Amino acid sequence: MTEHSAITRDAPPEREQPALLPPVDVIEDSTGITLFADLPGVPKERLNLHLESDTLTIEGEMGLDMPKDMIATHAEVGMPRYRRVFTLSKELDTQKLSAEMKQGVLRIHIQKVEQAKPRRIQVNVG
Amino acid sequence: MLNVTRFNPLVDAFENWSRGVPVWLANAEARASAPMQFRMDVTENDKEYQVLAEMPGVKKEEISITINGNEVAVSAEVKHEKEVTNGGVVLRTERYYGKLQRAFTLGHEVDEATAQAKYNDGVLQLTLPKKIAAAAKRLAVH
Repeated sequence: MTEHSAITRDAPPEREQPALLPPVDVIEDSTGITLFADLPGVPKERLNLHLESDTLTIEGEMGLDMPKDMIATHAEVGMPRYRRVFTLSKELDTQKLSAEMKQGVLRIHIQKVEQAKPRRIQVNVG
Repeated sequence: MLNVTRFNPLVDAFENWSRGVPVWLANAEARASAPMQFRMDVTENDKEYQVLAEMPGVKKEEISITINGNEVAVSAEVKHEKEVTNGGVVLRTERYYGKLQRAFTLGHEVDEATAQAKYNDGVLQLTLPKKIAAAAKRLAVH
């Protein structure tokens, strides 16, 4: 065994837990894009937004705690987790990202980089 | 997304006829406008039922719940937010807008006087206590 083996060894790949794919709306306008995602049951504390270079990951866990003595008579919400990954285009400025959570709907606004925004060019009389 | 309605060719044909559409065509419009069901969980113990219903993006004031004996009906509406403005382009639309509606029957009658509803993080939580059945009356024979 070499001295380096412990450091260079890759971390064991994290097993991806199964998750639901939340439905989203994406709207683009001249300033940037707005993304809406339905994440019912996810409190703000359990929502995890992760941005790595041009990949945006939305992850949320439902915070519905049921009293233990209850028996499920009818269950449709099987998985208590949401996950969705987006690749962002280069013309979006990931530094200018804002997110808010309201009534189970996540709203993310990402501004375009200044060069990509439409602008008026002044024409000078020669 | 399931959107099940009862197939009734007679009603379809009549509606088509009244709108000047050939009667043999299926009335797709009527089916598309049927309210969407939402997902829910129901749990119970010996005292009460707990219902958790997913309805993201609904205003608290837009939820209506009616209880009638052991029948519970919930309806709500997801309104479009005025977001598409000044040349906005919709790139993707997967979320549901419109009416949500669902009615279900529980095993016991619900005590509507003490029933409670909460709406948090897009989930409606109903606490529906079971009505204690009046003890059977024993008649004395004279």
